Amino acid sequence: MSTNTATSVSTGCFVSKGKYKRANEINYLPDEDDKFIKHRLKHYAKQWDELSVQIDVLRSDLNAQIFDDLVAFILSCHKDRHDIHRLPITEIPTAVLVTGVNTPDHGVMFSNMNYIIKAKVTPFVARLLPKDCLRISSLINSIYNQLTNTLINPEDIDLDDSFIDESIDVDNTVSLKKSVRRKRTVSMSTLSKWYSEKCRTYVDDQSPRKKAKTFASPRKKTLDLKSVDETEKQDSKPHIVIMIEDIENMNASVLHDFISLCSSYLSTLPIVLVLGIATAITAIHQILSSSTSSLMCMEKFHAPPASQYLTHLLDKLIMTPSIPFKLGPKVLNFLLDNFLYHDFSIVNFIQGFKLCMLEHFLRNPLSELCCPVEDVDAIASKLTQAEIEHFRRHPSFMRYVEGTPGPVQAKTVSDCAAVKIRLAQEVKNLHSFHKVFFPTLSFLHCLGQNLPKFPLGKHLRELYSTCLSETIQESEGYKQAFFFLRLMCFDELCELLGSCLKTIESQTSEKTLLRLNEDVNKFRYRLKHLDDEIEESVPGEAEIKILPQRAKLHELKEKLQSMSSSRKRSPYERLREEILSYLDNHFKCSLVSPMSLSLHEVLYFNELAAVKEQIRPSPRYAIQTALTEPGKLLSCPCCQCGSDSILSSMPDLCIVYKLHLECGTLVNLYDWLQAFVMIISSNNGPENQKKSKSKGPTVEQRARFIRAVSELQFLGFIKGTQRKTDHVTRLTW
Amino acid sequence: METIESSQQQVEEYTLGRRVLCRQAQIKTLMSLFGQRYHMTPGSLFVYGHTGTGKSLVIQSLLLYLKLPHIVMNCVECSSPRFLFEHIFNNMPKGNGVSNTNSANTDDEYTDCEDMTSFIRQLVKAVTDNGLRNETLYIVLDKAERLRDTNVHLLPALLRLQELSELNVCTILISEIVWEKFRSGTGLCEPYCLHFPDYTRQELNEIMCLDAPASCDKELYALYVNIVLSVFHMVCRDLRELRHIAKLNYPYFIEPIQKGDADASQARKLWRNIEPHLKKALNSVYLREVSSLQWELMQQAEFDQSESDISKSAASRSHMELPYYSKFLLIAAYLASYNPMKYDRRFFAKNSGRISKRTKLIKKNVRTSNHLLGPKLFPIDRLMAIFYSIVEGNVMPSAQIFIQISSLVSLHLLCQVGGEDKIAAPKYKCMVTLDFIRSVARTVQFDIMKYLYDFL
Repeated sequence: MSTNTATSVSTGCFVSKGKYKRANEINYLPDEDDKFIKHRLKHYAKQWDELSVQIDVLRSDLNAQIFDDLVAFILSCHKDRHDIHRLPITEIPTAVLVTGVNTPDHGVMFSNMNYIIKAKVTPFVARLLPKDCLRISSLINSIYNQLTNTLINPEDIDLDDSFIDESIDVDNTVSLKKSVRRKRTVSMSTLSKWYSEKCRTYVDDQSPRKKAKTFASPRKKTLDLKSVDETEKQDSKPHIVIMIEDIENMNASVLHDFISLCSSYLSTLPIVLVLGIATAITAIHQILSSSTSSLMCMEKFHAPPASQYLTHLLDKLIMTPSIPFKLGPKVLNFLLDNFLYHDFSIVNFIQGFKLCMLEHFLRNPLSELCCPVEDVDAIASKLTQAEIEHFRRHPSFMRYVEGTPGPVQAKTVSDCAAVKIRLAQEVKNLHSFHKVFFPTLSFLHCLGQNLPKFPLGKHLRELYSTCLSETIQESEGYKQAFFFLRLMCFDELCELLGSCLKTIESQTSEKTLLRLNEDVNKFRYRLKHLDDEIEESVPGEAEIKILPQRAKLHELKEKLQSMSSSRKRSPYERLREEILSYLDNHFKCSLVSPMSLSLHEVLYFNELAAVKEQIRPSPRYAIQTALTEPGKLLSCPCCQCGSDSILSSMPDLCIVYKLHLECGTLVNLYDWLQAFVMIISSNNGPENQKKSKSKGPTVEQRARFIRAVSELQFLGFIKGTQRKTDHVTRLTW
Repeated sequence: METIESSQQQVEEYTLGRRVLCRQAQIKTLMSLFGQRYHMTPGSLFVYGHTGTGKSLVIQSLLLYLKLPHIVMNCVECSSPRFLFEHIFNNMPKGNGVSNTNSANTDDEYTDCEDMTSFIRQLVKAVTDNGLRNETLYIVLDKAERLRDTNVHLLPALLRLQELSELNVCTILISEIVWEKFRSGTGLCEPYCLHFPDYTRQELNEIMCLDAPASCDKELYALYVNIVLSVFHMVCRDLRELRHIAKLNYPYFIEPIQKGDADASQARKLWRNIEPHLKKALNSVYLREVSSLQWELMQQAEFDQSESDISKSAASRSHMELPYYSKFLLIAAYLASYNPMKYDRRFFAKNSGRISKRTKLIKKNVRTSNHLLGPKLFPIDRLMAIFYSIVEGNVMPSAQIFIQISSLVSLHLLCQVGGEDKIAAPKYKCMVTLDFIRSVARTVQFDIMKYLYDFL
């Protein structure tokens, strides 16, 4: 822009290195006059950190079994390869890992696996993604780079601990080496040469180095945990594990070549393949020919299904009193639907959960108090006058105040200290309610688990979501479940009560639950000693009258019905009735819908509208609303109108869009242009209109029209057609 | 006496120390072709035969046995001639006179080579450097059929390598296809062709007996191999596959003997014991989906259940879980692929009207099954229209739905077919089988047979 650049002889583009801007979360906060948002951000960060740690633990627990199996498999491979007496069977040991269709989750799983195999089995692990493997040469290159880096890396880390300056040098040399490598052709023979050389050194200094490592850095202990017997490792060379993440998306011919290469180099390279398959094992045969698949010796592993993972996640993280933040019924159902109906992806579910949590802390001032129960008092006492004022303006707090009785109401409006105490009390009430609520819920779930047609839902999550959205006693499923329970026979009921008790056995801190436990135990005792029950004297017997001589038919029917209902019940039936009515009462007390509790907004996030667009975007709907009602989007006063009318003040694109909605499949461009010109010239007054009509559209109008039409084409609403000249096809309906 | 001894020695020689069986004729030919170390050999050899007939094994073991200087290259790797050239230089064997001292620092010795001309020049130099002038250098190119796909001039030049470099070099091509398929360009010098015929049953038997575990009597194992071959020789002659099967089922064969239920001489009893296992294995020849351990577990489970569950196990192999809407999308795609477009209105519109008797009659006569013709293309609009008419409830056309279509494509359940317009109006094809779609439809309680034109 300055004169200096203008005088330059050659024109060119100069790169000026700008400052790298690190995104700062403070800048993204809505700049309302909410000064306390930073507090809440801190709360959020703390809670999310705890939660994410728990999620990681859960994930590794869930996959522990399959990883152990895999590691055992990899260790057991290539055992008999030194048996010279026989012809070698040249089969590549292959673990086929059926991962399920939720592709976004696989990345995490494979990186965990990579980590575990490196720690427990061998340092030589390469992980291939379909994008690396467009050609066989690039595939081998990628393997080579990953494998050669494995042995450089540990030293890097070691250096990192002591000399930071030197590590930079090492990095440089590594990158230099890489660039030299790249010029050369890397083939499998290069790899095998490298391997044999590395092997010699690796086996030599395997044991001392390892010991040194464990002493030097105790934080790496987890890596060495459960590692293989050192002696065993020294005997055999370390395996090379090659993981291919997504077989379906690999180029089939490249994969074919790679496998045949592997099998031909198997005598020098102890390769173990791990193939990830998203669909089913038959996919292998669709991709590979039998000549190739016979080169492998496959063993199948099934990753736990995503739905099981979800159940775990819900049990441990959502349906638990230990985490203060809770999802309301609308949001929870939305997230669950998204998971079950759309993608089966846990990663997306967790992201959605995180977004909800963020929204909650961002929008709701009351979320200041959304914290573990131990901290409630401390935080409540620290609330300032201004913050309480801020609370008072929030609708949910107002609702709460209105619900309270008169004198208390007056106090909450005026007295700050009283408000603090009341708030703390209410939140603590919520927490203690949760402590009873969840075990009771699982008790009820256990009760209804084996009933025909699952009136209470197959999963605990279904029961939970009905509980959230309505009072459980009034729901259809609950009534049906109790109807079935009333028909239950003796043995089943005994067994059922026993298994139900197990769900609440561990919870001994809550009084309500202890009482429930005791009472149910008493009932069980009585069931077992049913003979000792005192016979109930039935007074009804005397009352049975002889029917009048000439009774009408319906009278007779009534009579018989009343007789059958009042027939003598067995002691078991009476006891069953007693048990069930007891349980019903108990559920009535402790399974209240949390949404009906006062100030539940502190912990519950139920504003679906705030997160729906982000979690399940619908771009086409958004574009269409923007085009039909531009006034809302642009918030300009002149375009405010209903969705049908067309105003000349609207943007050209909107006018063109609205006009084309009136046409059929094919749109005549000339008619379209005429209609467009009509509309944009309509506000110019009658004289102008006449003028333009006689002359036809001006150049400017035509240009505007063409521009709008091409924008519409860019948005994907129309496209050109060969069928008729000067026509375009509509693509949407 | 002497003759016996010399023939014994010959056998020893022609089986390369009893390591390669049943290939004596071929080895004899090769040995006479190779001659002494310093003899000139034919410039090029072409060795062909089916997979698993011991081509690579014979060549490689022969070269090792006679300690001849050689370089082995798998042509699968050879995506460009450069790979081949550099591989040859970097694996150049050392002659007798040259010491082996500086082999360690290979990094500095790496040779670059770009084209044929410099290859021949450098080859002469390398051969002289390594002291191989007086010996035949063998260059073995395995899977030679791949060389046809690279540079057109590469194969003729390799065949004439002896002539071009004026060295004692022999190029050995190993391939599974016949030489006639290699003749494409000009300038091909006809190599000496050597055919490796398939093993006969006796030969297979003999070779497979080599696998006998140490604990097992040789004769007993021969009996076992014979049993296996009697079942499998009809369907499968691949040595590799047969060995795999033999290895898998051996524990069942040996089980009664180890338990003491049967004697090694009771062939009939052993046969009756192993037969059902082998019949089971016949169902999964070439599948290779399980290792021996899992195979055992599977067999056990199947024996525990009734025999009628075989179809069920086949279904469970291809079973997969899909999200709810993905299932409906897949069903919609299947319907769009196999139903004629003009009947969509009849299946999915509310008031479709009745079909007149005449059209029904005509249809009966004319119609060929769409299932025989295979899946047809359909545009995405049709897919979405069918999807919205079969799915229950109100589904918003969100981005998630469209993501599911592309993830179905990446799972190879749908297939995107290139039209002229891949973004605005993509076209797809459904790739799943009827059985699969029926099992999917059953999980969502959708009676797909009612909607398929072929089954009305």
